[in-house]
Amino acid sequence: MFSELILALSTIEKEKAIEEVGRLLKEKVNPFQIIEKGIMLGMNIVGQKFEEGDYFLPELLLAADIVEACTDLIKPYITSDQYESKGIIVIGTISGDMHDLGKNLVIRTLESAGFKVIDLGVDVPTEKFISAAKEEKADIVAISTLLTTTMVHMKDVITGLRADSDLKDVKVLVGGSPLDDEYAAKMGADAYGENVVDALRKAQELIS
Amino acid sequence: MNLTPQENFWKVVNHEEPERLPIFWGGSNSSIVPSHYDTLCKHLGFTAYNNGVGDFGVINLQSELKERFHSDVELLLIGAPHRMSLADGITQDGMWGFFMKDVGGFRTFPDQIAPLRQAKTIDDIEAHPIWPDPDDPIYYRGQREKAQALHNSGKIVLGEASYASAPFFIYPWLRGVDQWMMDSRLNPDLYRHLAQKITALSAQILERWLEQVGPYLDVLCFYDDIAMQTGPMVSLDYYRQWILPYEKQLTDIAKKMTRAKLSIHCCGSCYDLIPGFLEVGYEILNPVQTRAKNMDAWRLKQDYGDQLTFYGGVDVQRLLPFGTVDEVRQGVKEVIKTLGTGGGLLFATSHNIEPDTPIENVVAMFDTAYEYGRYPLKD
Repeated sequence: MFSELILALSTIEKEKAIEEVGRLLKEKVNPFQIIEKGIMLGMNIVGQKFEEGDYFLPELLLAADIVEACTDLIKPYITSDQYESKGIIVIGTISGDMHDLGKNLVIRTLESAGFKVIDLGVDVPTEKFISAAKEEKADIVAISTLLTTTMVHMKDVITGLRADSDLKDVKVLVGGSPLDDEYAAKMGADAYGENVVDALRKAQELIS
Repeated sequence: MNLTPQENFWKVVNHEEPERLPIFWGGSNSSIVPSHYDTLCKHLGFTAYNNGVGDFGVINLQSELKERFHSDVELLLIGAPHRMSLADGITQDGMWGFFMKDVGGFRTFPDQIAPLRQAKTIDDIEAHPIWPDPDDPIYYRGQREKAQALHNSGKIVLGEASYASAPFFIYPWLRGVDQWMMDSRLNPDLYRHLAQKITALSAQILERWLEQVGPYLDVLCFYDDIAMQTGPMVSLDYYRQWILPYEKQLTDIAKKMTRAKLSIHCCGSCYDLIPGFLEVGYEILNPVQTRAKNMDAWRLKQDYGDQLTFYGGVDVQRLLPFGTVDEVRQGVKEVIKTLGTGGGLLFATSHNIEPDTPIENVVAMFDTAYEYGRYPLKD
């Protein structure tokens, strides 16, 4: 039932993917099934091809664009009492940094996998990460950076979360080119996502 | 030492060992961010110094600072149209009309406010109100005289045509990086039109500038950031189809008009794109970010050491900001030994020195490069 949608997404055929989602909705297929068994599996293949070096940034962005278009079609069919996300993630680029390309790709990938993602944007101060985590009852706070100079602010976010009794169990996922597993662990982060695909993998591990 | 910096340079780029390793400090991507320049000058006890960002965001390094660090390079930067200051800390470039915002001391080009972000048609592109005028004398005024003087100084003349030699800086700054990456698939006619418009205008300015300065340059810099920490942004096939044809228009002009070696600036893991760079005609690779995937110094020297000169190499992501002074000294020696044996290395950082870098490390880096960079290199 979903094989054409999976194929369209994994081969970056936007019109075909939209057509397939339209067909499935018309046939009254459960919208969550379309997401989990169609969109998510298609994105998994995209992620695999990226990790294997067959796909690059253009393909990831195009796939994310397709996911956004497809989920926009599906959203009206999901009522709020039906919706149960895999987890709630608050994400942003840390204070002092305006880069958002990687973050935006991660958002689309996480959404396609069924996470509810609240995007705080770029140049996000420490306090905003913490207040958003509290307000949204986040399971994960995800922080992105491209600059070594802003890494210290990531530590401030982690320290702030741990100091708050309501938030001390929130998991922290970090990503960005100046980081690695070792540095992430030193900062007190729970996980480091090396790339978009790894970020999803780590988010799923943190929730499970 | 008998050779001038220029003479040393020409040995290096011809893959011969020089008398002394050329030290490159002061190019647009081998310098220091403005806030830290101030700290550095104060630390070294300079009481009066240039304290401001010049054209195209490049710091005007105080000459005493360049002497202190034994820099062999003098920068010749093309003239720049005036920038416009707007609200909320945003400035608009006067040449191409993209927007910039200073965030935490860094000049950023937010995708969210890219002026052509919403463009859907070629008419939308043509409606953009700011395009460079190749007849504007601002680009060329006084350049010949300055180039001659720099050449006569014996220093290595590093020519930067800046925004006239960076077609795929300009494209994403006008459209947003994400739109740029998707345009070739979603709107190829728009992609070709915008890429060619940028290239054609750049080519006219570059050619007229080189008429003035070409004979006096040793290095001519080009720019394209198309790699990430973990790999290239695009495949080599994509590069050849969608980027190379435009870059080559500019390098073909350069090859006719100057004997300068052509340098390509590409941050990140660009190893897989090097065959394409060689096809375009680049001869120098900058900034050589050795912590990025497959960019190990030994791999680059082994695989491309006979075809490329390496301009950069000292890590600014870990070693320089977070290493001890001894680790910095050792790391610098390793870079020199690995990339500089047999010539082929122009010593520089793998990008601008950032505010989290201890000054002691900056001093140790340059002093080690000067002391150790005598050929034949010691073990």
